[in-house]
Amino acid sequence: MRRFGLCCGLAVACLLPGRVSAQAFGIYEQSACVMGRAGTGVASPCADGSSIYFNPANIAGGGNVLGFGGTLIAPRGGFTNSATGLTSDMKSKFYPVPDAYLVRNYGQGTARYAVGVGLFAPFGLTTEWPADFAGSFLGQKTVIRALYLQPTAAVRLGDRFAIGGGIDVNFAHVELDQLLDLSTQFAAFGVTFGNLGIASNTAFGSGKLSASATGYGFHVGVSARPLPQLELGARYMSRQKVTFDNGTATFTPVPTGLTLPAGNPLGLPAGTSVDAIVAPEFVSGGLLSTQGATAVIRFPDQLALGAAVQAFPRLKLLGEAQWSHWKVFDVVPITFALLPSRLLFQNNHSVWTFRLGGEYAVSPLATVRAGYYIHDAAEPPEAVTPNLPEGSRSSFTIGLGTRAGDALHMDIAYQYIDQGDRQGRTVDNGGIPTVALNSGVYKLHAHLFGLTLAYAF
Amino acid sequence: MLTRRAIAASLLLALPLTPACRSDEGPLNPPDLSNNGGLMARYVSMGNSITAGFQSAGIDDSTQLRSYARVFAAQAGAPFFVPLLNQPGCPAPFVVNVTQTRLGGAGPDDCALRNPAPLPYVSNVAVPGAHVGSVTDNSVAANALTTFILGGRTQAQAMMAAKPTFVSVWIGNNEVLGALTSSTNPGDPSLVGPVDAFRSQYTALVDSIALTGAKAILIGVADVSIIPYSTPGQVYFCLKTGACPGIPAGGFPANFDVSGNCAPPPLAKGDSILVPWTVGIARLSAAAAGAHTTLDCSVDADVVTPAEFKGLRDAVSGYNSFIQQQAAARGWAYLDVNPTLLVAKADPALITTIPNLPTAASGGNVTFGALFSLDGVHPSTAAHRIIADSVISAVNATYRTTIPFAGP
Repeated sequence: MRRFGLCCGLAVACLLPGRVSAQAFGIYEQSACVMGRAGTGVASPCADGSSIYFNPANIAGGGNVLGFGGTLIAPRGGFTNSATGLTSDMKSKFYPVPDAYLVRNYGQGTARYAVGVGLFAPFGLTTEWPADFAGSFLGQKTVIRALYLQPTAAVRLGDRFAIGGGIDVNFAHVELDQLLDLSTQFAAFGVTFGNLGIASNTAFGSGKLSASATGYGFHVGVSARPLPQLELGARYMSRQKVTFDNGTATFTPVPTGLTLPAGNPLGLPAGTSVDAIVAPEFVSGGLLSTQGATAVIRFPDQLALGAAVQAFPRLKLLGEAQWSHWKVFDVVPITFALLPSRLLFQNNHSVWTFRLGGEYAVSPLATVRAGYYIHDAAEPPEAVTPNLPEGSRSSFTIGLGTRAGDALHMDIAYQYIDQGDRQGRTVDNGGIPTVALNSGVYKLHAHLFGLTLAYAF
Repeated sequence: MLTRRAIAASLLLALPLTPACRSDEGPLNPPDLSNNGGLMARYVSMGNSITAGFQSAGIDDSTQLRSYARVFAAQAGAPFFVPLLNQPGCPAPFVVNVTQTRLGGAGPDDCALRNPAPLPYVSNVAVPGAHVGSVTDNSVAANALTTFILGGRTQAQAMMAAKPTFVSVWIGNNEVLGALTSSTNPGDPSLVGPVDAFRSQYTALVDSIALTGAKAILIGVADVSIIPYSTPGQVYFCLKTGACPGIPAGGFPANFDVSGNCAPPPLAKGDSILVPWTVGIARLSAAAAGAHTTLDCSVDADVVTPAEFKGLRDAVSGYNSFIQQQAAARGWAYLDVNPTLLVAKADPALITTIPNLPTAASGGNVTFGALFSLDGVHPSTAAHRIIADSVISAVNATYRTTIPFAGP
């Protein structure tokens, strides 16, 4: 019997990360008030300071306000393998996304000024899958966090025009947890463990890439009121290229429980533990020892154009078209101190989102809101993975705003996101992915709960 | 006011009337996992060399795909993921069995690698050489193929990992085949698996299936006296002497003798003495080379003696009684392949009464009929299709399915 010795130890063929992935990881829910009307916030502001994000121009001319709150996001979904019929569900968790705004207005008459600062997360993602899901070798847990701190200034000229802008400081963090597949590793030169019979998706370790970095950008907006009942607005938030150059990749052995029987092609004694064979790679000097890592992620620029009309004294209707330049999220280069470098191909498309919303003042103390939006997928068909199984979406929202006195008000909102079923994959080919790797269907929907408290002073 | 209403109307008109787009990018063409009530959504076959697709003393990605298990899966519409072994095989199948020349000139110990293409799960977990105890314990009768096919798991573990809806089991043949094919003592009683141990190990096997909730078909062990690997001693006697009614003498060279102890009853017990083809061809080849040789049916090292023969058949009978009992107790299907084999054995074109040893002794292959490959033990491609149809028949009868037959 031909035998295969471990001539060069464990040569890692395809390690971290399969994909950092997650295109269309934008978060538009930065205010329960705006969320209740499906994110239509560029033309007509909510009185919670959230215009720092939705249109910096609109902070001028309002009052002084401190607003804070957050959104609780509950993504739910799964993957059904077309060949086996088996479904794996994402972990059902709730993910909080905070926001806070402080706005101070100055001046009176034809020129009013405002300054403010906002803390919000326009991009973010967390997906988590069970360890027994085949896609966990691409991403068992994926986290992208982009917390923007935006000092903002704006001026309103007369009653019809305002302009504003701010500097975005992006405190970004990325984390990718993956399982490591023994079948793809080399047991000998040119011979993988898969060649020797180790089943695909045999986890022998887990890897975690974690990195933080700071990015910078800007955000500008304009608003106009050409008619007393009509408000128009536009904003542009710049793209950011964030280099994570202080990352760390750590690896932990996962017991396979496999033992080699007699006559095995490695020529090792019967009963030899597979875990013992790979263990040296996890200790100092091994390819899977803790090591430095770098990555570069491009966060897309956003452009939003919107209009709001006071259709009736109590009813306001809003519409908005928002363009996200996801095309900049095309490739993520990742380098490791010991492991081979990787290029993770994303190849996203830029997408337009169309939003319609409305709010109706039931009474001086209560306003109800509703909305709907729709957008196409940013991910191309070959890039739909467990990291973010994204697709075309539509969403319905409802909301309620209420007031306690003149100073304090509270908004709550609920949003349901319905994503079209999407073919995707659970494996990588180490190069440019193709649709031929797709092996099943991802389903995804989400429930979002928003709460904002605002205090006018 | 008109302007305000016009703007409002335009916003309303823009409201999409349909929810988000549903599935896109065309079909994946997945199998219809709902057929037969979903019974065949995930089918796993367990067993030994026959189920694995071993033919002509070898196995490769060609013979594997001709296994009855794969034929059955295809007919049942079940996805079937085979741990394919690259050409020329592991080991490579015989091209000429007399000279033991193998495909690609490979040696008997050469083993090509397994195709590493990822499989959602392994459907055919059968391992050549496996005994019933091997299914749950890899320290039993393991070989290189145990690793190449299972990668350190047992058959039971690999089966359970597939979350099967249906399982077929055909194992136990090696409990007696090892004895039959012993090169030092054909029929060696010490190599026959005890029935009591078989029962215990088989129970563990079927319990592992029951844990998954899958339905199953249990296939009984083949009667080793039917397969053409060996030939009753009386056949040699009759062909040599012409003393048996209806069997004319012929074919053997003059310098090849057959002892009287190979004769049929009442002269001797030649009906219950088995002569392996490897012994026959050795004698005949020597005779063809000019030596005077004799087949002596009293030489235990050459033949399966009557006592050994009885031991083999008793063991098979004991195994099959238990397998049938287990199937009945669990409401699973049971298939006894021996009636089908017996019918086929009546036709020498399908299963030879005696291999074409005289012809082969002068070159070429020893052949065993259309239903057996060049090792005389493992079924041919044609036989696998017959076995698949037998499995289909039993499954349809037990589970009221409508799986179509494969045909020849």
